[in-house]
Amino acid sequence: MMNLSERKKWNLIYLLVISVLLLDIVCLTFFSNHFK
Amino acid sequence: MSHFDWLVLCGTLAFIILYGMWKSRHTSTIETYFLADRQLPWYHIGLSVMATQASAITFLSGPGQGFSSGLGFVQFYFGLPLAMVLICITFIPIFHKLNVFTAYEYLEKRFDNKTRTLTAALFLIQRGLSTGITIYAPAIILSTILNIDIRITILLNGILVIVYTVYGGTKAVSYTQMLQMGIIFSGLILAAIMVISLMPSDIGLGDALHIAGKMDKLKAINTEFDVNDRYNIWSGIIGGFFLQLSYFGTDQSQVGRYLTGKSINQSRMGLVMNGLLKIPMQFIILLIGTMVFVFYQFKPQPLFYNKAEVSKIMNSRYADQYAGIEKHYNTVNAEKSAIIYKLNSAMKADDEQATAEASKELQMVKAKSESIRKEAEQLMKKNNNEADTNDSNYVFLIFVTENLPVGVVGLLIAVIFLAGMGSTASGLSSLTSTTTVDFYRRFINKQGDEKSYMDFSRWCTVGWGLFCVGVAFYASRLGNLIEAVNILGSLFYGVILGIFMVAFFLKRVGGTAVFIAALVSELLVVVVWKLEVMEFLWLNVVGCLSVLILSLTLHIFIKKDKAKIATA
Repeated sequence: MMNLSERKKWNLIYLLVISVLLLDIVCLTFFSNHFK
Repeated sequence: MSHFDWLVLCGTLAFIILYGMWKSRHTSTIETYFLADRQLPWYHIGLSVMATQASAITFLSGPGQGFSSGLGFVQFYFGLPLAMVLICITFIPIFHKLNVFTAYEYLEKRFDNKTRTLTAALFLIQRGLSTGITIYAPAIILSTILNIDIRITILLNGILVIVYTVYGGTKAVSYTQMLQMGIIFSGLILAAIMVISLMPSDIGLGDALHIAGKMDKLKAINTEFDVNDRYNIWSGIIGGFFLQLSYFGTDQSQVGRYLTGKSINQSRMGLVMNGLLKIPMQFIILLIGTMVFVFYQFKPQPLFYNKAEVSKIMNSRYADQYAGIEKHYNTVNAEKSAIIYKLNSAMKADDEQATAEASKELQMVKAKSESIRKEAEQLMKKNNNEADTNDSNYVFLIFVTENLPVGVVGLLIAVIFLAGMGSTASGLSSLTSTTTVDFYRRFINKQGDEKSYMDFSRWCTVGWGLFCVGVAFYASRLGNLIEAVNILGSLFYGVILGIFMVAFFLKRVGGTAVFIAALVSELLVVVVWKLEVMEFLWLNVVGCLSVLILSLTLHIFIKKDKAKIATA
C-alpha cells in the first residue's frame, strides 16, 4: 500500500496531467481564434 | 533519391537494428523475452509507449490530415491524458501485483478461462489485422515515392522487424524504440524548420499562420456536439477517452510495454510522460501539414499527389482531358497565389477593408480550385472505378522528396520506416506473448520448461510476422489509413474495455454474465457500424457501456454465476 505522502505526490502528478490537458485546449482555442 | 540519401536511410536503419540486437543479446527466458526482466526505467517506457502508438501512418497521414483538413484531428487525442490517469490508478497496480505476462491472464483470475480466452482471441484478430495495415500503409506510399516494387517495401519492413523481434524480444523492441523516437523527434523538428525556411522570402512564420487561418486550416477546436461529426471536442474527450483507455489499458501491445517497468511508479511515470507529450507532438505533426499546404500556395501544386494514379490516367484515353483540367487548375492556382499575396499585404498593413475583400476573393477562388480537383477525381473514377482518389497520405513525402536537401530526405524517409518498424515490432511481440501465454502455455503445453516456451515464442513471432506480411500483401485501399486502423480498433476495443471495466468495478458480476454480454455487445457494435448510425469513435462508448449494462442485467438472472472475489 502506498503511504500518505506518496499518494499525495501521485494525486498532484495526476492533477498536473489534467491541468496540462486543459491548458492545451485553452492554448489551441486561443491559437485558432488568433489566426482566424 | 540520391545515393547519399540511400546511405543515410540504410545506415540509420542498420545502426538502430544492430543496437537493439546487441542490447538484447542475453535473452534466454520468457521473462526477458516478453518483459525485459521488468527492469526498464520510466523514460524508456514512455518513449516505447509513444513509439508503439506512433506508427508510420502517423507520419504520413498526420501531415496529410493537416494539409487537407487542418488541425481538427488533434481533438482525437484529448481523451488520452485522462485515460493515462485512470490506467495509472487502476490498471497498473493490479497488473504489477498479479505479476502477469499479459492483460488477459488477469481475466482468468477474476472471472474464468472462457472470458480470458474470448478477450485474448478478440485481441489477436484485431491486432493481427492492424499490424498488417501498419506494414502495408507505409509500404504502398514508399513504393510509389521511391519508385520500387511494393512487395520489396513490404518485405523489407516486415523481415527487418521479424529478425530483431525474434532475436531479442521485448528488450530489442524497447531499445530500438528509444533510439527511434530520438530520430523521429529530430526529424520532425527538422521538417518543421525546413518547411518554414522554404516559404517565399517575404512570407514569415506569422504570415504563413495567418494565411492558413484565412484558408480555414487552423480551426483546432470544434465545440458543437454532433455524433455524426468525426472530430469535435466531445468525441475527442468522451469517445477518445474510451478508445485510449481500451488501447493503453487492455491492448497487449501497450500493456506489454509498461509491464517492463522496474516498479509500479516507473510504469506510471512512463504513461504520465505520454499523457503530457502526445497532444503537443500531434499538434506539431498536423501543423507541419498545414505549413506544407501554405508552401504549395506559392509553388506550382500537383493536381494529384499519388503519382501511380496520375500515371494510370495519363496512359488512358482520358489523358488529354486530364491534361486540360491540370492546365486550368494551374491557372486558377496562380490566380489564388496572387490573391494570397494581396491578402498578406493587407493584413500586414492592418487594412481591415482590404483584408475582408481579399478574404472573400480567396474563398471564391479556393472553391473554384476545389471544384476543379473534384472534376479530376470524377475523371479518374470514370477511367477506373477502383481509382484511389484520396491522396492525402502522399502529400508529405512528395513535399520531402521534391523540396528538401540531400541527406534530409534520407533521414525523413528513415523516420517513416522506423516509426513503422517500432509499432510493428510491438504488435508482433504482443501477438506472440498472448499466443504463448494465453493459448500455448494455458492449453497445449502446461508444464513446459523455459526452453520449450522460448522456442515456441520465437517460431510464433516468425509465424505472426509472416501472417502480418500476408495481410499487408492483400490489404486493399482503405481510404485514410490512420482512420482505417482506428476504425478497426474501435470495433473491438469498446467490448474489451467493457470486460475489464466489469472486472475492476463490478465486483459481484461473474464470468458467464460478462462472457455473454461481450458476445452480444460485439455483435451490436458491428451492426451499429454497418448501419452507419454514428461516427466510429462512439463505437468505443457503445461497446463498453453495452458490456457494462448487459453484464449487470444478466448477473441478476444467472444466479449460479458467482463472482470470484478479485484479488486486486
